[in-house]
Amino acid sequence: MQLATRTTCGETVYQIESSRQVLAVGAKLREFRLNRTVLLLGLTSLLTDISSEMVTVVLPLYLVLSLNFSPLSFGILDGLQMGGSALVRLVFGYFADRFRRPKEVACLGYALSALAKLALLFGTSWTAIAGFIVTDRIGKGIRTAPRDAMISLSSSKDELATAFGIHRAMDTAGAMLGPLIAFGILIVAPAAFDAVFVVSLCFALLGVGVIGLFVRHEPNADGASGAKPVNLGQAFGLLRTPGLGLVMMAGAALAVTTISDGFIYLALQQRLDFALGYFPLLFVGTALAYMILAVPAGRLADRIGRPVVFIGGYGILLAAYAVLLLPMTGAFQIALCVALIGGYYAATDGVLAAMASALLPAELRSTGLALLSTVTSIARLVSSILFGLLWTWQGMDVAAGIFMAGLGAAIVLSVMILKGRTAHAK
Amino acid sequence: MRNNTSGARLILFATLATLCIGLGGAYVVHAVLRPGSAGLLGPPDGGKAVFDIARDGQGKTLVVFENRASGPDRGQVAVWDINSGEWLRTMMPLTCARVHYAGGHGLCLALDQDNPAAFAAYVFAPDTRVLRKLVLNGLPSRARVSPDGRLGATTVFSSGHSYSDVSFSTETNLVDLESGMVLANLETFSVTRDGSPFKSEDFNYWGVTFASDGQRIYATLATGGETFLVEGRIDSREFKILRENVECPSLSPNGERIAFKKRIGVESWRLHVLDLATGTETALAEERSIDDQVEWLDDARVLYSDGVDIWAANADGSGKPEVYIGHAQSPGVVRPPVPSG
Repeated sequence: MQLATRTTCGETVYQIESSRQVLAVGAKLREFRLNRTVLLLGLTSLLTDISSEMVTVVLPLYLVLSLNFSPLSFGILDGLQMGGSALVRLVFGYFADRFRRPKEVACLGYALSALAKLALLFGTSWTAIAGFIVTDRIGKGIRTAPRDAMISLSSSKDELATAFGIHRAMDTAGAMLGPLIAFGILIVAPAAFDAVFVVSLCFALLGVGVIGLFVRHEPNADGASGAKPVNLGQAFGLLRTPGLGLVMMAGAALAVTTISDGFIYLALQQRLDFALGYFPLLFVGTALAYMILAVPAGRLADRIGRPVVFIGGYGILLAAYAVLLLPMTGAFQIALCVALIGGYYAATDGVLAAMASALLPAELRSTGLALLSTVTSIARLVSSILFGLLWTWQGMDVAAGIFMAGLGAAIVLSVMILKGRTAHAK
Repeated sequence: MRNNTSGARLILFATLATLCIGLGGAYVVHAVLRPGSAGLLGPPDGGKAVFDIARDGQGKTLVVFENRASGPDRGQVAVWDINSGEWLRTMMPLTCARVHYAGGHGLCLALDQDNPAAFAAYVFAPDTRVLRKLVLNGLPSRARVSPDGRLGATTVFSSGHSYSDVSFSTETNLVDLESGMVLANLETFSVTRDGSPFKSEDFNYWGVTFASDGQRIYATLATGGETFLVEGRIDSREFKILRENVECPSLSPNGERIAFKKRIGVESWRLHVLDLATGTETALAEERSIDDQVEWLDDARVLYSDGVDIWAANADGSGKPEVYIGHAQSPGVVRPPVPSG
């Protein structure tokens, strides 16, 4: 058995090659199990997203009725949350690697988010709501990186983006079903928010059941290698991983110049002046496009190169901004914009995780992915604050114009960075 | 061996799934069947109301408010006769997120009966019959009815589509309560500051208060991180800026003073009263941060909610605030008509 290195479209791929028939059969069997892990993790995310989106979509209504809460208060609560959840993410990402227990750590995260719903069921005070939001987010912070690490470790290196695409498609399907189920309940039982929370809890428990009972963390060959547990020094050494810093730089530069969907939808609404009641439809439309395109985009990324698709995704986003600035109006503009944003998600979210996974050593996969998502989420936060300020002071057109120029520059920069990485890797 | 464990896991999961589906399904059925006041709006099937504000409240000063005491009638509109001396609340068959009543009309911001994902404004009569519905473009924030009961103002948070959204935008509409027509979105009013036109993309209005002439209004205008008190007229659709750092103004019954909340820090306000003739501001004795639009009980005392109870405080800053109605919010004071002349 020998370890061969081959380079495809800027991606350095390590592959185990062997002439032995037995090993080939073994690889086939393993491949079967990999897909099983990805599918089961996808199912877990689907159930969990049904659960969390059910709550997310009714929470503003519930809080106005039960707590006299203003949306402004959420913003502040949310801002305070960001820092804490980033720390939790890094710490538990490291634990997952240190104890080689990504499944158990992810499981803990899913269980915490499920338990958080109890705060909604048994409390109506400010503290109960704050407790729910904090616990829910901590759970999300804990589980994301170990789960993505399991997805990547159970897939072969040249199918990483496809594996993430499958997972994201299932995840998004859950995000679409959740609001439908919640509103279905509120239609048959008006104002029965408690029923929404109970059903949400049920879906969350099913999600925990799937990962806890059926997911087996059986990493592929390079995931199983290395006998000694990692230490903190190695975790910090991650920063020196060849190429990782560049990928993070590109990811952050692109994220910081990205306008959050909320603003894009608001801009669409202001431009076209449709009733705000239709707002949720924009999210549904985007999710639908994302769900449909996630797997094809992943496959394409595995074929022609992940950086190409990843940066291309931001090109699609730029096109969505351009649609926003066009003088034409009407349903077509909305549909086009929503489809483009869905395409942007499909081409970027899972593909970035795949790009980073391919660079990260198997024994530090969770830590590395946690680091990456922390960097990009901070960049997104900065972007949303900047855009909000620009919109407030200069108006929508100026703000969008500045961000478009910034995104264009970030795309050029990323092409240079990721090209440089390829040259460096060669 | 492996088959055994995976079989056991399958059974365990099947049990979990049965429990979850059973529990969730049973709870939804329970929610559908239970007699709930949550969706209650108006007397059931044209039945008679227990209380008619116009008929039973004649000659009395009443407070119409939202009951927040836990129990099945939490959220229901209630009436309290301030002279009865009893802590008796009469429940009305209306459940609202915000309510205000004055001059023969009430405005109830509640879950839309036809769309579970939205709120609507319901105009109701003194006997709580629902007269008409107005669609709201967001989450309810404030409701006000003019003293003569002809006009109403609704404020909603228009970008509150997601609880993690930090952007903040309000929509305040003036409504003709007789016809149910929206007269104007306040953002269409022209604004002057020190005599010259003042305009910006980011104008947000909230907290309308009506003068007794039915034409003059005051409101909060927010722009560029500052808030202003604006005074204007409905017929000419004009506002002029009076002063800075005034939120949720409320005009006293005699029209001489304005109670408001003054921002003293991030998410922190102190109640003040402004004398319109002299321009002097007086801090009220309430030392906690209050986020509510004050209601005048009479020309000397104001009512407000701290999120739990309705409190009363002297408008001249003297004395100590006290709980006026426990477990309640959204007070609206109904006064007997002042004899003209």
